[in-house]
Amino acid sequence: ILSSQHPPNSLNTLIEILPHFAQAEWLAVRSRLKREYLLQYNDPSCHGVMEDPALTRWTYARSANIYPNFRPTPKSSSLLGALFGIGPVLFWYYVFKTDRDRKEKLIREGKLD
Amino acid sequence: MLKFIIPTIMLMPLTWLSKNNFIWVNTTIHSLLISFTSLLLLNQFNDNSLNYSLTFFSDSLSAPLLMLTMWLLPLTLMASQSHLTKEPLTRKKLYITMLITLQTLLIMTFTATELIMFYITFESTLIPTLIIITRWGNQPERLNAGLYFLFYTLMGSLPLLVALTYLQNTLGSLNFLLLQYWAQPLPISWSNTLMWLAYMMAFLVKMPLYGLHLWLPKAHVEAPIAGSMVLAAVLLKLGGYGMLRITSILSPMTEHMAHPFLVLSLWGMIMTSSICLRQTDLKSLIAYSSVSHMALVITAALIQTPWSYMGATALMIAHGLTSSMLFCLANSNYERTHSRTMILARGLQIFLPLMTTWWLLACLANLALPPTINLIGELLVITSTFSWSNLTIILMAMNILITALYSLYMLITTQRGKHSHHINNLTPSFTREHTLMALHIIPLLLLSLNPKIILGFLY
Repeated sequence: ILSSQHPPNSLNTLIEILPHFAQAEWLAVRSRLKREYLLQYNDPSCHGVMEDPALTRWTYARSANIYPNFRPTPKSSSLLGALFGIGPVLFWYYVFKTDRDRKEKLIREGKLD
Repeated sequence: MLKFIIPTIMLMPLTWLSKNNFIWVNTTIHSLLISFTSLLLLNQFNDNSLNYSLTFFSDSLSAPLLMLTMWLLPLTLMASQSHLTKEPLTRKKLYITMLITLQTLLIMTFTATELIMFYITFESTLIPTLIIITRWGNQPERLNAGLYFLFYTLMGSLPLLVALTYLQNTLGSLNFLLLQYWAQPLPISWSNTLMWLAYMMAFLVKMPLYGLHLWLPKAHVEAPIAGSMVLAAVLLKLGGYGMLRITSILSPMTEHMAHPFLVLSLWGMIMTSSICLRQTDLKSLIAYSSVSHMALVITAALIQTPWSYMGATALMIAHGLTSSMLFCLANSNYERTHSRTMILARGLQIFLPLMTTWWLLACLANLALPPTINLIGELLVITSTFSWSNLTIILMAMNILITALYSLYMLITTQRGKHSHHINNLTPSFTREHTLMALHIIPLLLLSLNPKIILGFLY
């Protein structure tokens, strides 16, 4: 269904516009992919690895093409960043500083080691 | 020292003038012979340094690193043979020339007496590595990787030049052997803080420290196999070597200045280990594991106790061999499937059982299994940080656990389980690959029998 919240792009146009034809379209795509895969799988002269384009897209999206596939939200970026990036560093800094100062004081006064 | 440098430089005419089908044989055998030379002459202990001349010296800290560097050149040449078969002859020779140039510069860096010469060769090692990464890497992301690598390291080390020039002006000489006895204790002031930062930033970026580590996954992943091996095994250790050397002249200030960097490396150790658990790219996993191990070395170098220095040097050698071996194993997968995704080549134990042995040994070494030198290094670092502050044991224990988790995860994903059903046409392992793995793991296992040669100058 075309609406202002889902601007059409090539990925979801078909499925959005033609709901009751979408399943047939998708089935056609899937069976074409499976046919190509089975042809390569059973071909005795097939030399090399059979490439899965979906896997290639997935690894590329995970490693090199992150920004178009990722939208930083306050929860995902600010909260997680503070919780795992800044918070622990400050926390452990104060923990180690106080512990170390206490130890230095004890060493200076001769009560330890 | 010329007995190492001149033969290594002469490897270059050897590559350019050899017959076409003999370049690999000639260079590999000759570089192996040169590395045997280093093995025979450099074993030394205690605090003595072997002074070859006014410009070169080797110490019980630099000798193991030098041996590692020279051992690695034949290994990199062996590993690169396969992916360079399709290149024209001139480009093959150029690649080998880059590796040889890098080797010469690394030998000069590890044995330099004068700190400016150390700095110059330290910076010059960036150039052949940059050329190897950006010219012979496999993906278009290699350009970005080369940029990050060059500029992170360069920006970190330019203040070091300023600081070294200042030291030369005040003390008169930068001969390291004299500096150890001449250096005055640094009082605490703002300018001395900046000077401390100037000295250490170069090595912290090179190690890398957790906040400045962005260049490492990119550079390691995009580099070809020889580039990855040399980067992981030797270039990171340049940072560690520099830190262990330079902290001796920075003495009392380090205790105050080191806290932020200690915390960053302790927490970064856990963060990067955890990221390893989430990786789908095999080389990226090994790169992050390098960051984690090097964070241990940074921690040890900043604490400055005798045990921690011994742990740092042992860890550097152990990690050099282990990480280089893991990259070779990942490359053997890459050459077969042309993809770095882990799940693409899984369950390989059925197809390549002998390679599984090498995978097992490498992963067990990576998780610091006793009695390997990895364990000795980690144990010394953990006990010395515990004596520094009792609470570090929490972070260290978490790190050991997560390291074991991701090492075993890597092993089980690539070797065990049901194989993916479309890899029924893997080429069997070459003898060259088995030789490569054996030559990595045999020094590691032999060193477990006599670890005192890698324990550095405070043993």
